[in-house]
Amino acid sequence: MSDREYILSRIRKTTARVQKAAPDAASIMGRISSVPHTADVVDTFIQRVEHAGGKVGRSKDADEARQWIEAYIQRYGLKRCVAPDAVFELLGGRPETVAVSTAELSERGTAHDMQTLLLDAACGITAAHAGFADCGAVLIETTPDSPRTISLLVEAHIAILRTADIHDFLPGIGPFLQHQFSSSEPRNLTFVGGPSKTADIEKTLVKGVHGPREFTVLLLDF
Amino acid sequence: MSGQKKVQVTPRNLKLLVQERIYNPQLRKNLSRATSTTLAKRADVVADFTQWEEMRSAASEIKDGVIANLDTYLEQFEENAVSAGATVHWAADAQAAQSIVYQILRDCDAKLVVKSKSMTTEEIRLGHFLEEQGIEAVETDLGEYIVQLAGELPSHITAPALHKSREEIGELFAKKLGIDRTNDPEALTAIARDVLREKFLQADAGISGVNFAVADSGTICIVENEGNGRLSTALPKTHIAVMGIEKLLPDMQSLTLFLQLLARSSTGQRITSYTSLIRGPKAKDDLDGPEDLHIIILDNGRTDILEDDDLRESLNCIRCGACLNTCPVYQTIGGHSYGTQYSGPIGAVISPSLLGVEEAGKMPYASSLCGACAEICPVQIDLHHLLLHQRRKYIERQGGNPAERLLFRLWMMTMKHAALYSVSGLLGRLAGTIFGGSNRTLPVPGWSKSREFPAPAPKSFKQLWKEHGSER
Ligand code: SF4
Repeated sequence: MSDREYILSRIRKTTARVQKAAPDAASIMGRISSVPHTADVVDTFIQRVEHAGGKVGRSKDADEARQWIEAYIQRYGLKRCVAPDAVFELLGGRPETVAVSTAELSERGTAHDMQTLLLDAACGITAAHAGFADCGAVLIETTPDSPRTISLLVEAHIAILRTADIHDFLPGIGPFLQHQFSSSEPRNLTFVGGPSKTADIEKTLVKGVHGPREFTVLLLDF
Repeated sequence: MSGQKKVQVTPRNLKLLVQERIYNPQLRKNLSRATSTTLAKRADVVADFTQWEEMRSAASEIKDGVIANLDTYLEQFEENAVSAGATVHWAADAQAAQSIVYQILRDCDAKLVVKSKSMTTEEIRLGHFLEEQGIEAVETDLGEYIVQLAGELPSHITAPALHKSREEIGELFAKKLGIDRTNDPEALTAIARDVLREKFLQADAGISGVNFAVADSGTICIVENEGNGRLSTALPKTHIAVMGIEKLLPDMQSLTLFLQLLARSSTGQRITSYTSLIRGPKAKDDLDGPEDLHIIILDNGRTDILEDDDLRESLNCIRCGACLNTCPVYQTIGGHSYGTQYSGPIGAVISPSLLGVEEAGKMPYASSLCGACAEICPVQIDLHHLLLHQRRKYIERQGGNPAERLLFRLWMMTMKHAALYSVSGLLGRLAGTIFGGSNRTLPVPGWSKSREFPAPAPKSFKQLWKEHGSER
């Protein structure tokens, strides 16, 4: 008997005896899928990102957003920013700093070249699908032009989020996720809720243990 | 006590370990600071929700239903994971899991493996096994890395190096990594970052655990703060994920609920820095990510737990560690005293099944039965009841001490009936007069010989309150 059959048959011995219906997850979730928010959703979001060690910027149009990124890169002494073309479009063009699009990266070099570029004082910018006020996190997705390492091997990670895409409660994203994962294609999504951090030495908080030291959400009010 | 001679202390000698730990002031200081700050942070973020109790009971209901239909969910998960390009393996026990991992690593000619934190791989001693096979397997979670360098076991589910002071870590790094001595957590972290970054970039394979497995899409979810989990699953060509059969959830909607419960309960965060949802290996045009994803589904004693009508609910555990933090016994003796990978109340409940009675049969005694664990558990596992259940099983296996057996039966009865609660105090005080005398050690074999156990109070708090409380 294979291990698979062995395990399943042992489980079936119990499930057949217990005879309990599968949970109706949707209706159970329906009982709790709302959260009473007296405070403003955007304010709560900002406050909770900051509480988790992240930062939040805000811009009212594309120009302001682009300038904000330029200032950010200078402030942290970074050498370049790397982003998908779609993000540069959202910003109405490339910031006046060393800006590299991920499309150029993949045309130009090997995985090793890409890593070297990201590891050298870079800032990675990704677009976020949504943000969540109850936990202060954003949801980002890996795509061919937005690789995993762009928010990982860099010094700083900026997630661009439309202010209108902030939900009050994490379960609000359930249907979207359900849809995202409904095909049979590989998928890779990540909730990012702060910089890379640890408290493993005497519970002292240290940022940038393996990944970015800085995590920032840039809100687009437009 | 007579019981002490009668019952052999288990090989992993609980008593000695406890004695050693209890007199270690550094450990006690670390422990109490860490557990109390985590509990305070937890209380803060739990207060966000007026419906926290409803969330707990919803989670418990979902998990109960999944566990009662586990075969269906596992098959569904497997089918969906495979359709996205993952390879699914099944392992009946630790040895089977080890050899599957070894086979995969041999097939891809791996020499260096990066591991992200996972209790399940600790349980099957995977790192140790790989080392024996001549494969370098580096723990990359900072706490686990420290523990690995020191050649120790983790002492907490979510904070493995909780037992070590900065001085000890400074000394360890200086000795093992040949660096200048520093005790500064920031500097020590930076050193580990440099060492481990090299490993990430060179590793042939990454091994991770799984926090949740979503059945209806074949997705695995990994929850962490450091980014080592993401790096382990982004850089190496092969990703191996090891999960217990109990990790299943029905769908994404339920997952969002469990994410909120897990982060708040474990570290007092609203969400961790990184929560990765991974379905299949890299997509064809992705610039990074693993070519191959292997998922190993592990039994290793879990179907024994499933079979036991009382213990079954312990499979609902999401390994948040809250029951450890809140346990007065854990706070005093720390994780190592339990002598096993899983410590604290949940460790005492599941370890006899996962690690064997020989190793862990006695663990359920490392508890004061105060019930704080059951109160805090985000999935409402009745740990208090399960600890008693495990103690009874232990006594039955040992043949037992008749007086203890009788007391237990009575105690179990009173626990189940609130009306009898006041009687149980009486029972305790009665036991005190039987076992107390001048040598006040508990009738629990090998547990508290060197500790003077306080004599049970002559009157219960309830009685005193009745007599004096109304005077105000
Ligand atoms: S038993 Fe409950 S409190 Fe303890 S680790 Fe598991 S989920 Fe957390």
